[in-house]
Amino acid sequence: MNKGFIHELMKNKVLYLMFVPIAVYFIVFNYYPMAGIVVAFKNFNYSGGMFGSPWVGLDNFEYFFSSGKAWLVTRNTFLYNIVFLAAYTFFSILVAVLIAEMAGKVFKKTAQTLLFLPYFLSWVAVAAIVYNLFNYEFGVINTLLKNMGIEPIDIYSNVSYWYFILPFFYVWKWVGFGSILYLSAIMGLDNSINEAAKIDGANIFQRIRYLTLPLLKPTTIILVLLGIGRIMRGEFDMFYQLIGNNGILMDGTDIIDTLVFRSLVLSPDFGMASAGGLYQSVLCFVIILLANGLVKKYDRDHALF
Amino acid sequence: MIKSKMLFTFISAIIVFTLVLAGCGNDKNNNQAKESSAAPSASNSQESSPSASASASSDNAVDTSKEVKLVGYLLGDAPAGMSAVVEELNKKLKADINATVEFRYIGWGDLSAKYPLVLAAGEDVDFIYAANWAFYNQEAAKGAFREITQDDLQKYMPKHFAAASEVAWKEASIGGKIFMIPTATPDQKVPVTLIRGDLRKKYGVPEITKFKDIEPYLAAIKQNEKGMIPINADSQYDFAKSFYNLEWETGRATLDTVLITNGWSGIHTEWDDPEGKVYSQFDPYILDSQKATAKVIKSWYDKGYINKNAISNKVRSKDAFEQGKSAVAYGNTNDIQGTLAKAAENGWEVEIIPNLSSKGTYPQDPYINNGVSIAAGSKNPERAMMALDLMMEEPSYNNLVYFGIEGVNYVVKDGKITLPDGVTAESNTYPPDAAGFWFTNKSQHLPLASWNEQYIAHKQSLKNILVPYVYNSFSMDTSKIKSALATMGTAGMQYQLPIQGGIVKDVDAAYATLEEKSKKAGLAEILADAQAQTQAYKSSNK
Repeated sequence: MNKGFIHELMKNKVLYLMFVPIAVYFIVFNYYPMAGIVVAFKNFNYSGGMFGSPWVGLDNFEYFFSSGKAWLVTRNTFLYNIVFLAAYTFFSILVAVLIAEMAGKVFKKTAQTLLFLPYFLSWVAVAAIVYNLFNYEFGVINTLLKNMGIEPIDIYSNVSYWYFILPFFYVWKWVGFGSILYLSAIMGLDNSINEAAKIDGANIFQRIRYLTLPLLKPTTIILVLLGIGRIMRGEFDMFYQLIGNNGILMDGTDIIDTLVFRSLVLSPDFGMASAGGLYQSVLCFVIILLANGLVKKYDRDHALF
Repeated sequence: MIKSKMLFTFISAIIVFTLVLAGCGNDKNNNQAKESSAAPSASNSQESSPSASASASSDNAVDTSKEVKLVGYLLGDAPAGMSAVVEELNKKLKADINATVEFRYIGWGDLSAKYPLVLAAGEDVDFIYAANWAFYNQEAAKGAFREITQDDLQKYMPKHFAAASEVAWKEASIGGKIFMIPTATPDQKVPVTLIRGDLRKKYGVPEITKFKDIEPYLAAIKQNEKGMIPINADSQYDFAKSFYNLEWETGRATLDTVLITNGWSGIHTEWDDPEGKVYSQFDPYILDSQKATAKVIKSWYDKGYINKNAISNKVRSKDAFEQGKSAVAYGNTNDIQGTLAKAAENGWEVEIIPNLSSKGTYPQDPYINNGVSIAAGSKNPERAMMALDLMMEEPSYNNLVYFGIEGVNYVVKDGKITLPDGVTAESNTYPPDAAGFWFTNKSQHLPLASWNEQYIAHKQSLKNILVPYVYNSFSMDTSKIKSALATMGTAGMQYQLPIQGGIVKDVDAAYATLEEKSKKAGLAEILADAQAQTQAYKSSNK
């Protein structure tokens, strides 16, 4: 602790006091558990516990790479999340702008509520809905096709459908939440600029194009950066519930989380599971540093750190 | 000034405290680790644990003056009537041994994730359901269970110690130490296939006694019953069942040598082989007959006898069967009782086809297929064992936990257990066998009145079907091959399951891919280890 730090503390003591609860929270729940990383390098047993178990070096990572799927699932995780993040950001902004421009209050609130509703559904329930929509014998879509005299399609054994189904349901589930974030940013914009533009004769599209969207840029960058921070964390619930153990779809839909889960579900091993988690965290860390570095380079004011 | 000084002290105190907290994280954990390592080592040593030896010195009478509350974990879901049964049970336990029990359940879906976690947390659990297929070996190796000594058994579980056979304890021991109290009465059960006899007769299909003759029945259903799928399989239990049922009867009746729990190691042993020869999945002896079977299953799938999206379906054929949505139900001798009762209420005639080897055999369940373990961290292991002794071997307790409350969930009529008036199989809040007490002494149970002649005949036929399997009490130490097994598991799920479900386009090509992936995963390594360990096991048992 040098003098400057103490001086800083003295100067802003009230602010620092207000900061204490959140600091304690992060130390207890985010920094302290990090010590558990050692488990990834240990042959965990109960008698040794986290720190007493014997070291095994990198053995816990072996299963992950010996499966020959490490690259495949890393790529899948990355690509799916890029698509998810792009689609989610695009539709969230779109919906937020549309809702902001809507006139009728009742319609506005109803639309918002309906969009927000899927956010509260668990993926287990969504998986049941998806199964009932798409299954071959009794699925809504195939029953419709059959009634129209068209051959039913076997969606559950054809991976190309899932490249669209998965992002669709991801957006469907999260867009309500995302649009609220952007909507609140829009509400916080200075309305006088908008009115000035209106008086100057800008139509609604011009106002969106030249005012709302540019003003949303800082919010968008922050939210996208936060999203990138989780980019190596697959939406496990979604993939596991919607795809499950379907081997036919797996090469196109397997992500790091599901591979780790499947490898270890039959012989639970904390060390190997932690190794999978650590691998993801390290990748996330590298990616967020890169993304932030890029933002910093082109637009210094909007970088996270 | 004074005020701000105080504030400063306060803030710096908080900062110091948080730093200490972060810095001491390691120490704290080390202490915990030491504590937890102390507990199992005490119970692992040949002497009994301090508390046990203390009470042992005070003669044979066990001191129960202090009331204790036990926590027990079972598998599955609590039936609706559970709380009433537990209340009744606790009344009895309180009077007899001054203890009460709280039961918690680990659902089937969470089993592999939650079971080790409950034990890892280790604080609030006294006893837990244990079985060879529920990670008994792995968890015991990790030190999750308390060692149970002969002294403990004689002192706290005299009834069960008398009832259980020597073999049971031998099966339960790992490296000479016992970590599980196995049931005294291993289940007498075989996998079975149920079909609708009324529909079979309606469509003029001749009687079916073997699974391999089932195809005409499937065809008749497919053709005539539009709302029904011949085999409406789920992704977990049923998915590979059609394949194995057929393969056992027409090809090689094998078990996985390495993994008893669901899973796939690629190593097979025939249960009819007294020598217990160990085969690789890709030994032509195994592979060729499996290929032939896979082609039949594929033809069934292509003809629509099996539902197209079984891999994503979560409703077991047994449940779909009860709803009239599946013409076939897969299950075993015990778990089809409810299905039979419900079918009888619907006025359906059900026929039972046991799924056996070509010689008409099936391996006898080992004792350790059902049991209960004391958690290493239990604070009241003595009282837990006493409570378990009562539940497992005292008829009034045994009937209570297995069948529910007399007069509410069951009544005894003509020496048989039946439902009270006005209660149906559907509305019974505590169906037999459903609450997870599978380790109690089943020889004390009366027969159920709902058993029809066919079911009784099936039960009686079991003694001619069940044969000892050479590796019944063998449990492989998988610590050296765990990476290979994990990778094999994923390969099996991705490349073998589709073959067994009949969904692949080309069976031969699919097996070639599977072989390539298995070799890469380390099948040779697993095979070598399995051969070495089975050899050692056989020679130690001679």
